[in-house]
Amino acid sequence: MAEPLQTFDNKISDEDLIEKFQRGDLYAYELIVKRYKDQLLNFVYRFLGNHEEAEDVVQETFLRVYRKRHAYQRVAKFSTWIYTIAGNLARTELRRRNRRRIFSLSNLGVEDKEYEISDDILSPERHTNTVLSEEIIQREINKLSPKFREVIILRDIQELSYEEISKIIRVPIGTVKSRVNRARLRLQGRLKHLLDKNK
Amino acid sequence: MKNCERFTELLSDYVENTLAFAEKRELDVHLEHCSECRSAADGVVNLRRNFRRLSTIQSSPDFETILRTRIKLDRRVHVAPIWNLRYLAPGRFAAYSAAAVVVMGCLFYLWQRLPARALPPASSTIAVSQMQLAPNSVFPSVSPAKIFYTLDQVTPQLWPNFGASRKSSERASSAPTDSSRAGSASRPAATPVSHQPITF
Repeated sequence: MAEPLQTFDNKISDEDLIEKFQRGDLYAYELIVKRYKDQLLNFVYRFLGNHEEAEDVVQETFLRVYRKRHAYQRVAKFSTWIYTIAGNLARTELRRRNRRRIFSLSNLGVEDKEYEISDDILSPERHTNTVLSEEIIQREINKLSPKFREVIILRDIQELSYEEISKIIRVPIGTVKSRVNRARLRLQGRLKHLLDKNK
Repeated sequence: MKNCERFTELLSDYVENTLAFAEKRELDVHLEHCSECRSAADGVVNLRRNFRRLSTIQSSPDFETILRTRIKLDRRVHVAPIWNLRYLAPGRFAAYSAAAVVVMGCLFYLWQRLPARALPPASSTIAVSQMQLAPNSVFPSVSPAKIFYTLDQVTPQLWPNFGASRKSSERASSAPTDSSRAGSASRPAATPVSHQPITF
């Protein structure tokens, strides 16, 4: 009995689900949450590099969807809408975190500052014998500026089309392509020693 | 060098295979001779492969429970806008109406009380009359007769009805037997008013 219901759940489009939810169907909202929670979590986690913060941002995204459900209009894809909300919240969180970091760095003593720097200039040669780990990739992603980080995650990890990315971050397709290209070049340059080992 | 720059620009299109045939052919030829660009292209292909291998992050098991709780709390915090029809529910409507009647009653009561407290229009006339009433005022040497004389000069200009009402009340009461003015200098006739400068 559960199987036909699941098939129905999978067949129904996101846009139909949000319309049902707009009419008061809470089950449709639950399906939206189930469909998007991991996708969004991956996007936000890769953007922020912190699981706890990422989960908080995704929770806030779904809360916004709940509150502002009537703001969605079918002219746009639902995925674009929800990714835009998540992206905006993630960027806000990143700015907030940077402000906190600036404040805490200014409060650090000399010894603390030295420790902080030594962690940053960790030599790549020390990693040549280790396998290409996700942490290393994630750290290199985190070193990119947010505008490059966002597009490379959406394109290469989330595998969204350039057109959809352009709508999510509201910049022309040409700019998206150029940013993706530059981000890839930078990353492959920084991870070259690891990528070669992991061929 | 120029070809390297062009290749760098088109690198993503090249690895994603979205270039036109002629352009792809042109870049293939360049790669055969340029090891640096070939290495960059290999690097990007590898990078994308590694990105695809990244593990999927799973949300915590209580993700949906927490979300439901947050929604419930959010509903309590966010009060519905004033135009929301739920404010017109019968019970609430009666309560709001009663509150409105009480507020209007209070306002009406205050409005009724206010004229009784209201002072006559502020003017120098009042100040002068108060000076006359205060025995130990800052002008102790001024005689009451002079003050009344001054009042007669000033009040018609500032408060036209004051003089008339006072005169009529004076006429009704026996003015000559007024003990307060009897011993002092005789007061000049009330009419006509001479236009003398007011001096203390």
